Amino acid sequence: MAEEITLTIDGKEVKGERGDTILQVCQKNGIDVPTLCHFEGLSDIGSCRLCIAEIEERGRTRIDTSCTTPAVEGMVVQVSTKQLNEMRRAILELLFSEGNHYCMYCVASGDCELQDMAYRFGIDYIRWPLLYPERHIDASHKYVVMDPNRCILCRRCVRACAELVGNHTLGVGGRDSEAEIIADLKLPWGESSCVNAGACLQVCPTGAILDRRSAYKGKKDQVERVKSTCLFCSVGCGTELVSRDNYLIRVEGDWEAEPNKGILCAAGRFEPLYDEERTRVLRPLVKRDGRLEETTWDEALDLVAEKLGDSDKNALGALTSARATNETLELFAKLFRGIGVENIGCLEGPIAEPPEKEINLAELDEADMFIVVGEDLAEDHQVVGFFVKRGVNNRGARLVIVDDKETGFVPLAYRWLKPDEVEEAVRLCDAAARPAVIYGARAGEELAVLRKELAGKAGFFWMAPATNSRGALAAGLNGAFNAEAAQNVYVLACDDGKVGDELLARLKKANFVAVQSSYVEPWAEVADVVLPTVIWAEKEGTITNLEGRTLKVAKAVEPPAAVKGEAEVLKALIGRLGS
Amino acid sequence: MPKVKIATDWLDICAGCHMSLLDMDERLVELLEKIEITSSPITDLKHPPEEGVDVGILSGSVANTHQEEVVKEMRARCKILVALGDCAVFPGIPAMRNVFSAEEVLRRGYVETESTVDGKIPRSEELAKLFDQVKAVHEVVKVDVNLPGCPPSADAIYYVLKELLEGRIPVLSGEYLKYE
Amino acid sequence: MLEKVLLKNVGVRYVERIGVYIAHGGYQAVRKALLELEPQEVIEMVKKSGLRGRGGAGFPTGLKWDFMPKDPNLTKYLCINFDEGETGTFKDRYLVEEDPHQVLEGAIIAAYAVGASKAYIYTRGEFPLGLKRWIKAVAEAYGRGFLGENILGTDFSLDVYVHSGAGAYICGEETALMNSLEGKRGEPRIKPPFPTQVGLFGQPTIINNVETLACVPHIILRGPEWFASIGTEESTGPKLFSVSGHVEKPGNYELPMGTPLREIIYGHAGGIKDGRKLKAILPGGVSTPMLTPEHLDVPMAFETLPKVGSMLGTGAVIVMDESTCIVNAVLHMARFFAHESCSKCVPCRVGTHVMTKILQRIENGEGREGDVDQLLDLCNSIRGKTFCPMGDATTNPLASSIQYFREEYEYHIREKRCMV
Repeated sequence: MAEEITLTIDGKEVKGERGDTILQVCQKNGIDVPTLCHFEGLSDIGSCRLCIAEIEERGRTRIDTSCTTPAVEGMVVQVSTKQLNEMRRAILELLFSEGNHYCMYCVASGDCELQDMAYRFGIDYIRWPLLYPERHIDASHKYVVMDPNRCILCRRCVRACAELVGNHTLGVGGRDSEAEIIADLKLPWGESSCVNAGACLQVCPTGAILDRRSAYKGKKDQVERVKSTCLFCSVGCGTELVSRDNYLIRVEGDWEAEPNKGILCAAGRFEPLYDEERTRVLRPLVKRDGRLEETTWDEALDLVAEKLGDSDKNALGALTSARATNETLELFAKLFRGIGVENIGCLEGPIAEPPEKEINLAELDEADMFIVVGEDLAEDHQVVGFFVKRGVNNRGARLVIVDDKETGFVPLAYRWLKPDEVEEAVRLCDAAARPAVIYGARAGEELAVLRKELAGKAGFFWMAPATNSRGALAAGLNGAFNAEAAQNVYVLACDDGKVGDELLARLKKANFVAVQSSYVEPWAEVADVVLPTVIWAEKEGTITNLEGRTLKVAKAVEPPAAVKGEAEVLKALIGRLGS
Repeated sequence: MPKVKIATDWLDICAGCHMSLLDMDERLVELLEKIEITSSPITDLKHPPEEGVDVGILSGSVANTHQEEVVKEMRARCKILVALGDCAVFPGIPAMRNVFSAEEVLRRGYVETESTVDGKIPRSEELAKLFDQVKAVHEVVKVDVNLPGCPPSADAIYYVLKELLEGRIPVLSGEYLKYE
Repeated sequence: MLEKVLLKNVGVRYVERIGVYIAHGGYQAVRKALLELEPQEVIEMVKKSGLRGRGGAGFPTGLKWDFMPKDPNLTKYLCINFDEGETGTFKDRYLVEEDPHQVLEGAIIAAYAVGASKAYIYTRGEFPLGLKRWIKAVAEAYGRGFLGENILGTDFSLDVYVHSGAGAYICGEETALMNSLEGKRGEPRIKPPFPTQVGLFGQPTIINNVETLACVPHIILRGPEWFASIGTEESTGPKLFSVSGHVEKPGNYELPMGTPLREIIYGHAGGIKDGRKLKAILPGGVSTPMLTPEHLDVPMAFETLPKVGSMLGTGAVIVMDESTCIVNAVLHMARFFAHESCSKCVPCRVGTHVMTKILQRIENGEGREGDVDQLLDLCNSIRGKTFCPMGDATTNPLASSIQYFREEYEYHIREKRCMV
C-alpha cells in the first residue's frame, strides 16, 4: 500500500498516493484538468501542454505540466485559474494554426477531442496566422488512412504501438515543419512492419488516423455501443461493437476488459468486416437435383428430423464448431446424446484437456523469458503475441522458439530451436527468474520435457486451438469423430470458415448431411440441407476463453429476418425429434 | 424606435450561410419588426448605404482584390461587423488553395483541367486579382463578432441577432458554437 | 588579468599532439589529481573555485559533481558536451581545434572525481576538424597511458568514446544529448529524474561543457583560491568571449569573468566596424535578450546581466550596428529556432513558425496593425509553457527587440519598408 500524501489543489486539501503525478491526484479527486496527449494506459510525455498548472513547492512557484510532475506532500497547486485557461486557449489556437484543420468535411467532426477542447474554451476564431503546410495523405494501408493534415503530433499512436502492442512500428520523423508520424524509417504504412492491430486508430484523438470502412458512417451520438467478446480465437478479447440502425460499423477494443485491456488484433478488429467474402445464407436451403434451393423452415427441419430420427443410431454423427457459445454447446451435447448419438465431436478435431485449469495471461507481463512451443503467434492468438513483444521489446525479456516451422516470431527470438533441441531451452531457463511457456496445437513430446524440467518454475499457457475449446471440453465434446462411420450427419458450423479438406471430402461421401451455418461456403457441395444461423455479431451467450474465464457475448445487430439463433435452431429440432 | 439597420454581403462562398439565415423562417418576420435589411445579396442593393448601418454581416473569405474592397467598405460603413460562417472566420474551404500560388491555381483551373481545350487565363484589368493566400475577414479588418459554422445554424444566427438587438456582444457556446 | 590561461597554448606549434602538450606542462594536473588527491578532494577544490558551467546555464560545477551518488559499484558516465550549437558561440570549437588535450585532461580529472568509468565526447555533427582532433587526442592519450585500465598505476580506469551528432541545436540540451547518444530521437527528457540519478543508459551521468572542463586542470594545478581570485564574487575564473558581428576584430577573447561589455567590444574587438554606431548587442548568443548601447557598462557575469534584463548564456557577444534592420535580424533568429525545434511540445514547435510567418510578413511590407501586439502575445504563450528552456530562448530576442525597438517594427508596418 503506497504512502498517502496531502496537497492543496485549487484551494482544496486533497489526498493522493506517493508516486502519483499531479494529474493523477486531480483525477482521483474529481478535479477536471484539460488534456490532449494524455491517455489512460499510456506513458505521459508532456507534449500538448494543456494540463499546465501553477505549482508552488518549497517556496518557489513555476508552471509545469501536471501529467509529468510528481505530486509531493505539501505542494500547493492551481489548475483552474483564469490565467491558466487563457494560456491553454492560446496553445490550442496554435494547434489549429499548425495543421490544416477543416472541420466542415472531416470524418472526425463531432468525434474529435481537439474540436471538443476548442468548444470547451469557447474558441470562435484563431488569432494566429495559419501556416498551411503541405502534407500528404498516406492511403497505402489496407484498413486505415493516415491524414497528417489533422495530426496534432500528440504521439498517442506512437506510444500505443510501442507500449500496448510492443511493435514499435510508428515513430516521429523529422523536425521543424517536417515533423510527422512515420512508419518504420518512413515507409508507406502499407509496406511497413505494421501488424494491423489498430491500437493507433483507437487512441487517435482527431481524424488523423481513420478506419476506411467506418468513415462517415456515424458520429458518437448517433451510434450504439455494445460490450461483447471477440469470437475469432480463444483469447476472448473484450470488444465494443459499434453499430447504427442495425448496421455494424466498427469493432473496438474494450479498454476495461480482461485479458486484453482494449488491445485487439487484425483477426478480430478488421478482418471480419473487411475480408468476409462468403455468401450469407438468408433462408433454409435444400438440395434438389444437385443444387441448393430455398425452402421453408418447416420443410427443412422436417427433413432433418426425418433423416436423423429414422436411421441406425450407429450411423449417426454430430459435429459442432467449437466457436459456438457455452449454452449452444451444452444444448448440442444434450440433444444428440439424448437421441443416442455417440459419434460426436468438434469440427476442429479432438481437443486434449490441458493440465492448467486456470490461466492468467496478465502474468505474461511479468515474465522475463518466453518459450513458445508449436505455436505461430504472428498468425494465431496474436494478442498473446503482443504480450511477448512487449516483454521482449520493452522489458528486455528473451524469447526462445521451439518449433519445426519458422514462425513469424523467429526474427524476434533469442534462439530458434527444433523440437529435439528442447534441452537447450531448459538450460537457457537457468538465467530466467520468471519463464513462461506458451504452447499451441503443434506442440509434441518437447512439451512434456519442458513440463518435467520446469515444473514449479515456469508458468504454462495453453493456446486453445478453437475459440471455445474450454466450453467444448466442459460439454464433453472433445472426443474424436469417426468420419467414416457417420452416414447421417448434423454439422453445427456457425460462421466458422476453417474446415479441413479431408473432413469435407469424407462428409461428401456421407448419405445425408445437414449443416447449420451462417455462410454457404464451404458447404455447398457437401450439404443436403442448410439451416441459416447467426454470425458473431448477432450472437448472445457466453464462451470460456483459454484462461478459463467465462466471457459474455452480446449481440450488436439483429440477424436478417429468416435467420435463427444457434440454440434456437437446435431447440426447434429437439421439438421435432421429440426427445 | 427606429429600426436597426443591417447590411450583408457575401465574398468567396457557397451561399450556404445566407441560406441558413433564411432558414430562420418565420422568425425573420418577427425580426423584421425590429431590423431593416438594407443592402444584401437577397435584396439586390449592391453597397451598404453611405450613411452607414448598425450591423454589417459578411460571409465568405477574402480571396481577391474586389472582395477586399467590399470588406473595407463594409467595415467603414457599419458599427458592428459580424463574420458569418467558417469561410469568413477561419477562413475555411477556400483556404485549401493556400498551399499553392494564385498563378498555379489559375493555371490548373483555366488551362490544365482535363476537358479544357486551348485554355487561357483571363487577365483583363477589370477583373479582380486573386491573392496567393485566401484570408479570413479578421485578417483584413477588425471583426466584432465571429460566428463559425458550415453553415452556422439558423438558431445560432437568430441568437446572435437577438443578442445584438439587446445591446450585447454575443458569447458563443454549446449548440451555437460549431465548426461544421 | 591579461595572462592567458585557457588559451595559453594557442600558437604553440603542434600542441594538439600529446608530446608537445606534455612538454608544455600538460597532464601534470592529471598526475596530481590521480596520485595525490582523493576524488572527493577534487570535488571540494572545484566547489571552492566557484567554477560555473560554461555551456549557458551556469550551474555550479562542483555542486553538480557532488550530486553524483558515491557508491563505487554503480556504473557512472561522463558526457563532454561539444555540441556547441548556440549561435555566435565558437569558443569550444576553438579550444578543441587548438588544444584538445587541455579539455581531455579536464575530462579525465572530472571522471576521476565523480567515479565515472566511461566518458562520451558528443561532437556536433558540423565540426569535422573537431572530430578529427578528438579521435587523435583520445588515441594518443591511450597510447601514453592516460586512458584505459589503471591509469598511472592507480585503480582508476577510464574509457573514452567519440560520438558524432547529426546536426541539432536541441542536442546541446543535456537530456536530448543523452537521448541522441542512446540512438533515440534527440528530444529532451522529463526531469526529474535528473541525469545524476538516471542519465545515460539509465546510469548516473554528469554532462559538462568543453570550456568548463578546460578550466579544471588549472584549478587543480594552481589552486581554487587563485581561480576564485579572477572574475567576480559569483562568477569566477577566466572566460572565453566569442565576439562576432559588426566589429573590427571578431574572434575569441579570454578575459576575466565580469569584464564590462564596453571593454570587450571597444577595448579588445576593436570597436564597431568602419566606425559606425552601435545599435544592439546579444550578450550570450541568440537565446539571450537583446541589449542596447545604454547597457555597455554591464559586467559580463552570471549575476550581473539579469539585472539589466538579459543573461550571460555562453558569453557569445553578437554586435549589431546601425546598418542592421532589427526586424530582419530577428526574422533570421526566428527561422533558426523554427528549424531547430525538436517538435515535442506545441508552443515551441508551432509558435516559432507563427513567429516567423508574422515577421516575414512585416519584412515583406505586408505587416498589419496589431502585429506587434500579437508577437508579444505569442511570446507570452510560449514563455514558461514549454517542455524545455529552449521555448524561453525563442522568445528572448523577439520580446527584447520589441521592448527597445518597437518604433522600428511600427515603421516597417506603416511604411512597408526598413527604417535603415
